[in-house]
Amino acid sequence: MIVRRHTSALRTLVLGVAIGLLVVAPAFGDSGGTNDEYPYSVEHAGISDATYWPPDAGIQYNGWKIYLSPAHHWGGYNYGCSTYIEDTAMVQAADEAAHGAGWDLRARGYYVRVGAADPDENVTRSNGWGSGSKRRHIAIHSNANPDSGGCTSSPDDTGTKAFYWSSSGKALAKSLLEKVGPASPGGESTTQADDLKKRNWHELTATSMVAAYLEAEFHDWSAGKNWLWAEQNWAWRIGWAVDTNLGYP
Amino acid sequence: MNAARRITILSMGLIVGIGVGLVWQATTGTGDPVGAAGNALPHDTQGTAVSGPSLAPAIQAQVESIQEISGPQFQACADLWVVTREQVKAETGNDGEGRKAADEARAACEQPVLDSYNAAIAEVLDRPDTSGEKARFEEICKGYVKSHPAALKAGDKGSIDSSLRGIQVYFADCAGEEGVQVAATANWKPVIGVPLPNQPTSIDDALQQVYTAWAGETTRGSIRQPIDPPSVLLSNSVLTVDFTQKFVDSIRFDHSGQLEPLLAEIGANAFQFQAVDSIVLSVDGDCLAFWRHAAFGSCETLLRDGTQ
Repeated sequence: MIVRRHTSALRTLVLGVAIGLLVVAPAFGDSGGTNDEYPYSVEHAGISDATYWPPDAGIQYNGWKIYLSPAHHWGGYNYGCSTYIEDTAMVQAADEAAHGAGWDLRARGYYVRVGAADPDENVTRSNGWGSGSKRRHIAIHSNANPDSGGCTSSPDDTGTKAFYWSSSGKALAKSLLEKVGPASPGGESTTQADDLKKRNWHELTATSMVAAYLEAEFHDWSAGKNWLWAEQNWAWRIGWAVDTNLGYP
Repeated sequence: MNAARRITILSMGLIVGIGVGLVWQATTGTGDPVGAAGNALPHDTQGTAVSGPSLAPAIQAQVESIQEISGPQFQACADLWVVTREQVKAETGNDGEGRKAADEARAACEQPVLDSYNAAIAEVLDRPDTSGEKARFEEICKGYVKSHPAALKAGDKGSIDSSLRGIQVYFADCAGEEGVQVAATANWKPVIGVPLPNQPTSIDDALQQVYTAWAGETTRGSIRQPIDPPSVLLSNSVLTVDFTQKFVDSIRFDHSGQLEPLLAEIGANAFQFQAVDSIVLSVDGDCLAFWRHAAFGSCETLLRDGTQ
């Protein structure tokens, strides 16, 4: 019995080592690839939202709808360091969170919709997407310091922040902050007082379901920008936050 | 062996595997090691001249290199999520339990990777800017804003903030900060100015329309926040737009895109009437943040676009 248990443990350990070696191996001689090209257009108003239905991927639907609303600025692109553009990067992050290779919201059984318009229109679309309480709305943005002028090596503020209006929204925002925050390179407040705030912004007050607003990281410092660009490494945490908030339905 | 124990052992194995791989990578020279804080990083560029408004390209490359190398490690943790979910789901018959265990395993797997490369990046970024290039850029940019009003009003060159397109702007009441002026030119016509819905019949009417337009603009913006319209006063050909106490959070002011439409509106119509020589923007508090967003940020965009 003991021998069998040790054999089983050893087999599991070897499996882990093997996976570790296999995944590191491709890095040799491979730059890892950078994502310099943006296939996404910011001018997506009028375009239909993308929807991701779990059964299409062989996943059982858990009964919840999640509307992701990536950043959109009417005044034009919102630049960060280098060629970072919040409006396109956050569309990519939302896509990754919805159905990316990181086993995200759809893989967890959620029916996901990614807004393709401006925030006003996204709110309208989100409100019109069925009824009932099993819906959530999450705005996904990246942040900037007021005096950075686009990029700075010494930002005043960094890290993840989340905003809410309702008490239920606060729980969702808190979950987003707690799951995304530890992964972002910037620092978060230990008391959460500076990072979890109540705001009467349109996407939080005009939505007919529980809503939260995520500022994933600041895009006006290099480490933040690089982290934001690698959305395949962190966007899964949005799904984790939703699952945690809803009790893994 | 229960699920938790199996996941723990699997995670340990994964970390050992990655560790062995990285050591091999470092010792055989087949890749750049992911350095912990304080470790020497390849391609040391201290003292290298920095060009442009951002980090030096060499430093930027270092930062990106660190993150690229971390990619496979993140993928390993993503793979662990899949394995764990299926394993626990099979054992418990509950997918939620599987996902929960998978999330925790993945996060635990990623944490050392995150700690490692964030520390490495911080080590690179915390090096002092010995070149002084950043300060030089800022001076160039400020000087550019002050001395090139003609270029600033050329709407076809880069993304220049509409608030500076030929409007004579003073920033007043800014503690500790010198007012910034951009001179107007006589033959200037607004490039972006949005016509008022009705032709104004008088200055007062124009201001009223501008005021109304502003109120409308405050209902737009990705961060939509109720903001009282500013007080507007025309006196001795100086139009004063007083924003003091109007903003709950001035940081969000520029981001929400509310300044540009207002100024374009004012600029277009006030100049039409040729009754306004200058516009004074009164803001409360952090003037530096206010004007740098409006001017310096635009200047940076302009230079970055190579249209100087």
